[in-house]
Amino acid sequence: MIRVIGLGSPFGDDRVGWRVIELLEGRLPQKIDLVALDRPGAALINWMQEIDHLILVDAVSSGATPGTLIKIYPAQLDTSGGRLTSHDLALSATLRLAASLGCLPARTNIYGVEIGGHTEEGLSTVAEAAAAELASVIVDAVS
Amino acid sequence: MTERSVSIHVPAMTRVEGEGSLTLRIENDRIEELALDIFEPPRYFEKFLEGRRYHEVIDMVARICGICPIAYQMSAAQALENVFGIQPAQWVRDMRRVFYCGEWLQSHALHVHLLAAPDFLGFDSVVSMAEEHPDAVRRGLRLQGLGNDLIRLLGGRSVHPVGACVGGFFRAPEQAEVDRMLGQLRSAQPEAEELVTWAAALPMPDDQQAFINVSLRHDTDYPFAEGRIVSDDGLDIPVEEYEQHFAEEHRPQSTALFSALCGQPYLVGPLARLNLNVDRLPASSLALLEQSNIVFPSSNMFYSLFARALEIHIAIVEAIRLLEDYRLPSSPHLEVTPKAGIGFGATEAPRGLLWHRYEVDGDGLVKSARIVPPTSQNQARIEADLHRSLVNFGLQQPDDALRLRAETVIRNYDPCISCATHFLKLDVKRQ
Repeated sequence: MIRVIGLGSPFGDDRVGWRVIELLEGRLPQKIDLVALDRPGAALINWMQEIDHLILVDAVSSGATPGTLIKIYPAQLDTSGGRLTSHDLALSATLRLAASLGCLPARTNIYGVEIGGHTEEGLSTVAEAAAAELASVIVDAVS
Repeated sequence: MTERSVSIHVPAMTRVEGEGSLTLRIENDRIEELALDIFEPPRYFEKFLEGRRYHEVIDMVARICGICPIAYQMSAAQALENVFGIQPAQWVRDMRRVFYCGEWLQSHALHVHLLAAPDFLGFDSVVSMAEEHPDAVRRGLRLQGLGNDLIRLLGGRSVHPVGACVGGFFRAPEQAEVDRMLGQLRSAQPEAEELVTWAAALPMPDDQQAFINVSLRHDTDYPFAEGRIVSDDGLDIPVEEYEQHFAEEHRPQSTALFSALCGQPYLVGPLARLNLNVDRLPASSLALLEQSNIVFPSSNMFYSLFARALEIHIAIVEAIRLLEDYRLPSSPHLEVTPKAGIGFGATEAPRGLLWHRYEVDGDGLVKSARIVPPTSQNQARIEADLHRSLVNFGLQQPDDALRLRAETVIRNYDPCISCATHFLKLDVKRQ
């Protein structure tokens, strides 16, 4: 089973992952599960059961130009920041914990959308355009 | 003279969570300076709330914390109902308790298994712990997921839930949803019992210390969303008298305010709750406590982990009890007519007492808000604990060992930077 999860929070462009999920609704085969999660931390692992192919979408802040799309594989995630956590486990630690428990889906892709400092209600136009582009990328990737 | 200046710095965290740092200066084997700085988002929210309509408050305060949004919603709802002179129906009060059970479950399950347990089992993180203790980690994730499901039953979604309002809930769950939830809770109960036994057997430092415990106390039940504020040195006050007994002060190193009860640091949270409410435990939780051979009240701060484990059991037992009597209400909330005034609310967040005060005008607009979160109340206590714990541990210990002990002490309180303290950078200067 394929599942696409948009990660985010209600703060400004950090909701871009949720927006991608909204834009994917109705555009993918019914058997593909779409989920939007608000900062799930380690509980993300509970969404990996019986999933063969997991696609994660999250806002990233790497210093690139806002709107840039980045495709990341779990192995590329920062391992030096192994203790990097906020309230909960950060995504890299959560994925390593999932791997350690043997529940990381065999295929796991992460798409990052570079966001700037927009923290107002709603998405910036740059993030909106990036979300639309990424939705099309995901449609092409799984169709 | 040897001077070792140790500063433990926690850089800014990802997303919106906290940031904090601990500065420690040791000279001639004495602590000359120890200052904990925790970044505290609620302070900014107090200003954001001014001028907002009362019903927006519930949604806005849920954003203060991704881990304990319900606590913020429940204290705010109670305070606003207090302004308007509303007493919610029994159904609402029961369902708020169930809602809260979900939050304790997910928050405590995360902290016990993923954040604190590695400290006591000798791992640097849960990722390495999972290789040797996969069953414990899986249990933590299952219980956390159960808590999220329980939150979703009443909140619509598990993080940043939207189901609560002033006067009650927007929607009452259908009986079939409640029955499904009951099934999940009943099958998790044996796992919670195992958890309590497991927590009691964890190797804990024997670290007795004197401190004042503060929590809510309810007439008959273990405290969640209702009660008077009590301490073990004789305080017993209604929620609205909080400001007459507790003072907050700014300290230069911190954006947070340090709270004191009559000038003294004090403890809020699971250990304080259990210390003050052993006689309010559900019978089956009390039986587990008695089997554990751990004596409560306890002055060993490290038994906070055990208290969290027992509170997971309490949350499951209480949610089952309340949902077994579930009936669809005629309406899930009271109609609210705003009126001018000042109101107070206090509930037990997973991390401890969370106190709110709102002043509202006749149109229902917030004129002022005050939010006192548990982490700032514990801040002075954490500093006092760090001071004596590090002295007891031995200030001559290497920096890495000091840092790990400091992290363990701080994390034990599960502050909003609990995991940020995993991130400590040690900067040593020697002369």
